[in-house]
Amino acid sequence: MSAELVTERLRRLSRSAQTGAPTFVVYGVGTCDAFIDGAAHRLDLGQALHDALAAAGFQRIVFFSLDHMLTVRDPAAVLRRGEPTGQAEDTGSGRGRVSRRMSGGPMGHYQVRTDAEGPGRAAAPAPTPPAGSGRMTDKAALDMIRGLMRQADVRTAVVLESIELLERWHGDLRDLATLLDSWLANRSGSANAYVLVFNQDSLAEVERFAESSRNLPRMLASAVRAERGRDDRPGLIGPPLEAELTTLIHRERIRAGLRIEDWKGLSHTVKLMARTRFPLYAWETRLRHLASQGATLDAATLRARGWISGPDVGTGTVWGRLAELKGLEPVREVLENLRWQPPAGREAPARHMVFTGNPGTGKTTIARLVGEIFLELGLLRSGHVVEVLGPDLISQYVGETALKTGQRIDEAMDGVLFIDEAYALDNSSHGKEAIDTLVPRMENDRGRLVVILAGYRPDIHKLLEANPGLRSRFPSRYHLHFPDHGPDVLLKIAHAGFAERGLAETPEFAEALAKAVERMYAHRDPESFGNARDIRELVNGTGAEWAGRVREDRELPLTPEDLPSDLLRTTAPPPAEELLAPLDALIGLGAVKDAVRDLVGQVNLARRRSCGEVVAPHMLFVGPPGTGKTTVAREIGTILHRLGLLGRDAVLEASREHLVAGYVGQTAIRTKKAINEATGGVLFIDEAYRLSRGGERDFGQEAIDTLVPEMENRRGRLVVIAACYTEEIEAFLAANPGLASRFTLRIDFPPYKVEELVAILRNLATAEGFRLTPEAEEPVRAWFAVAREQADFGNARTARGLFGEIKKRLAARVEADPAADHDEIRGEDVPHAGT
Amino acid sequence: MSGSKTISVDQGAWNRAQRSARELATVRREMPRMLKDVRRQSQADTRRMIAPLERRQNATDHRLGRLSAQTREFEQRTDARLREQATHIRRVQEESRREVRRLDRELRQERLERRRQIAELGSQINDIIVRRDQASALAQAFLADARVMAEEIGTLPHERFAPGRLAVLEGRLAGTTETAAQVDAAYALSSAQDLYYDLSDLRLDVRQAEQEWLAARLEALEALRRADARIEQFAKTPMLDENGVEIPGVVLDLDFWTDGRLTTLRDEVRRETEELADAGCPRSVEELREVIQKHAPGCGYEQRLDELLECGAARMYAAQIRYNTAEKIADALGEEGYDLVEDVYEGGDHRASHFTKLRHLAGEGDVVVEVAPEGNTGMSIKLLSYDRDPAQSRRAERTANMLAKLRDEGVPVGDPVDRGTEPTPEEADFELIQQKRRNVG
Repeated sequence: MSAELVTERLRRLSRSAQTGAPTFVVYGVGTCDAFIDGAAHRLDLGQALHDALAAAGFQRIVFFSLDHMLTVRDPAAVLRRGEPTGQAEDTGSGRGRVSRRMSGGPMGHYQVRTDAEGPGRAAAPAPTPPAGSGRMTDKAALDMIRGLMRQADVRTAVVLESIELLERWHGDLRDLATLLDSWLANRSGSANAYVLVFNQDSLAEVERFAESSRNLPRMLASAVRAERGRDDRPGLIGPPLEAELTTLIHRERIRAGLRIEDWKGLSHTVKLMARTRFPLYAWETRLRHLASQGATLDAATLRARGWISGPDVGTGTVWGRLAELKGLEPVREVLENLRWQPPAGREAPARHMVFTGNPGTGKTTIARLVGEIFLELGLLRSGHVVEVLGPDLISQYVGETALKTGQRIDEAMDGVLFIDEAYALDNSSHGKEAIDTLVPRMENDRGRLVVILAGYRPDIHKLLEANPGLRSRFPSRYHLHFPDHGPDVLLKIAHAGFAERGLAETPEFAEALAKAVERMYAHRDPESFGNARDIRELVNGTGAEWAGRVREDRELPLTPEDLPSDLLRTTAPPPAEELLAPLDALIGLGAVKDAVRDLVGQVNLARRRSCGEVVAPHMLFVGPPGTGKTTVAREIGTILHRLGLLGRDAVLEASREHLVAGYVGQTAIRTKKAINEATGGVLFIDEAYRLSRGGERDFGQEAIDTLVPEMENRRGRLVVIAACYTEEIEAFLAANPGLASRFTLRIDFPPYKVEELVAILRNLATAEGFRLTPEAEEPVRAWFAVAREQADFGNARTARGLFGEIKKRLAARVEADPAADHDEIRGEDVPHAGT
Repeated sequence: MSGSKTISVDQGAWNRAQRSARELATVRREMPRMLKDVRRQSQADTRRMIAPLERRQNATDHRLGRLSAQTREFEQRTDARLREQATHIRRVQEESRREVRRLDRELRQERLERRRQIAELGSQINDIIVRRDQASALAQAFLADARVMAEEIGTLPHERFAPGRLAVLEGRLAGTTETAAQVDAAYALSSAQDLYYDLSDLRLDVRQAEQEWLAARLEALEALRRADARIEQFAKTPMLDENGVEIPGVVLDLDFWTDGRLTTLRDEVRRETEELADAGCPRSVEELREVIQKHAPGCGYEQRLDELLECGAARMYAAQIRYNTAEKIADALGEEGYDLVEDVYEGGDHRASHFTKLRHLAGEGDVVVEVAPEGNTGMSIKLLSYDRDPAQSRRAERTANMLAKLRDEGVPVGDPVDRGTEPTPEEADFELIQQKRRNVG
């Protein structure tokens, strides 16, 4: 039996079995599968195991199971199966096979087909065998095993099939347990071995079963321990890999007449098939179905039938596809360097990786490519990618997390375990359980497993900082950061998205789309930008808009109006006067209005030049209280949004109380929270100087220090407006050296002049339906002239206070003289100056 | 319960194999090479048999040259016609035979006409008495011609094809000659003429009968040679599977599988061939026709051959089925923990019983399985257990398991019958078994 003929999935077991260990476990999804060996013969697990063990040098292989109890397979049978006549092929399970060594009849080993339907058979005096016959009794089987395993001259392997069933139903369990235990204890140096077959998908499950076994605990525990100690998990039988599937395809081509037209694309198709991790028998059935229908085998056919899903793996060599990656140069370089490996030492180097970056930056795509690269380089046998989310590994129940994690690791063996949102492993004792399961496997199975942790950069860094054991498993050269996609890549993704949905684009739409994407990019949050994911949203939203617009006329193309309105800035901004209308009611504010006009002008210019992007500036509102800073800030939010400079029409008003907390570390969190909430709109910090007033030991400083970098990072997506009294402004700006330069627009709110104050009062009165008589204006003016000189003069606020006073006096006067005009404010209603 | 059991096996299950055996004979009628060989042999036979006739013809020509002018032409025409007939006879075909008969009719007609003309000429002479001398000379000429003719007939196998007729005519010739000597020869003219024509007729009859006999012999020989060729062809013939497709590498040795009955048949054919090929073959045309009939395609020998084929093939299939059964038993016991020690045929003969010896892997002892033929296509199974520890329950269980597996595999085995005695060591001595000579036949 040559090792090449052993079915691919059992070669590791075969190699491992040469070592002379006393026990082996076999488990994994493949234990219920069929196999194809190197000579294109179809085998069941028993036959495949038999071949693997024969190749490992076992001269006698005994199968022990509940239904057949004991079956001895003859190693020579395998050799003969390879003979060209192939008569022995596929004749059932191939149990026994003693006959293969017999001398042959007059027609050699030819099997004469007898007429099973003939009258002879019907007349045969053959009673139905009683239930339970047709197999050895439990005791006889155990005696047999004992006898065989005692013999040291013929190397024997006993395969215990479906241990779970044996453990539960075997009639003579105590004897079996004693037999196995005593054998483990006194092996007397023979090279015989037990092979335990479990119908469990992962070693973790096998282990759990072993722990719960009441009847065979010692034997099972010892076997599991042995497997755990083996670097490459030889007992794990996964789904078929590419080579085996390829052989299957050729077998069906010859046997069932399966049609293949695209020979060039075959390996690509096989790759997609292997990625599904379907069992071989499932593919066999499907291929036969295809053949019976005369359909050709290719990726499109399989996809149309729903037999493969997920993204395409791409055509061409993996290196070619790697070279085509745009915008990921540093990542590409690292992966390309994988090609030039230093000479391998005795110890396999770890190749685990850390991918940081925002969602949608291609981390998963690259992870798949990494799988393929390792496959191509022969460093991984399967190269499939098992994608999990960090939270999915965590369970609330004790022990369950380790089990879950172990299962996923087993699934990923020979491939890549890609853990997205890996930071979820950080936040609990359960997360620690997952990491504790992961780390030793990353170390022990590093020759057969590549683990990739992925997530936002700061979170991942924090996770690794907190778990030095975990961090040390990731070589620093495999810490890869995925920058956000540039607008050009995003635009390509968007075009592809529309094309995939069959939506046609007009040239105008394409132009508007390019602008929208550019805007989206400019306004992105670098820490959470969704990249391709956000583009998908854009495409979906636009598609929905289009559908609503065209209704029945579904052949109509996309037009710019289908794009989300907040991204659509192809039309001129509203004229400055229209924008300023809400401010008109406000008295004064010439500087504010000038600044807004300025911005409108810049936006218009940029639009006319079709390039450049106007970025809304952070602003400093300086002026005494009551000069309209808060009111203006609220309006500015709307204006900036209408100008297209901010994504949202929202102003978050925050004071020191919102931003500063009483404990170390809390302030930064509060401030960050406020910033996150405000992003897309305006963060208005009233009385900003109060942040800097507490001195060095005050947490206000922490708020400023948190704010400053974010003002830069979120430029264009967040406008911070800090309001300060004139006399405090210098102290505030001195609190952080970067602060002054972040505010590019300073708007002074000068104290109102007396006439302006009178006008404010008049407006207030008019707004409530009162009339300020000219003779009343004089006492008002006199009142303001005196009040303005007071230190606590509150400008408009004071004007509102005066108006309230006037209304009280008016009320008293009308009460006394019911005939008086109750809408008219007269001189006598105004308090005297200085009161 | 003892360690020896016999198990009967229902025979009715081999229908498919039986059908294949029947098919074997029918699918092989096409044999162009064989026909070519047979034709070549027939041509050689023809040449060999015709050669003496041709040599005799030269002497005949010389003798007929001595005939008088009036009969010479008559006889030469007859000879030409005979030769024409002979070429047809040599073709040995039904069509030719019809042609021969036609030619014969024409010939006889022609001769009658000629005779009538000559007789008329004689009567004219009779009428003119004055020309007695002339008539006398004519009678003398006829008598001389009759003597030549009698001499000619003497060289022919007239005793075989027209026994006694020449002697009678020779008697008449002597009488007429005497009369002609005693009285005026002219008075014997009529007798002389008649005599001559009777002799001429006899010659024709003998020649034609000889030709007919030769043709029949040739035809019979060809039939025999054809039968021989078929026998040769089927002596070693590839076996067919149940779909009528040749099984590669498997050849039916017909003589072996029919216990030499093919050789018997072939010897019979060859003996008859030799007899017919001998020039002195005593068979009559009718007997020869019988031989031809017997060897015509689809009759006689061929039927016997087909029977042999069917029988041989069925026996070979049956032997293989027995072997397959032995394999199944070995496999079934293999699953019970037994491993093959050796397997032999009694006397090394595939037609005889097959013996398999298996040994328990964990040392529980040996089992010998004999699958013996029963009749041409049946079998019986004998199971001998040489257990180290003859626990009855294990034996019974093992047998039951084995039978269940055989039934699963479609072997219609019956229930075991206990022989009542423990097996003897001789029954497990494979050397002895192999040395046994099977009583063939």
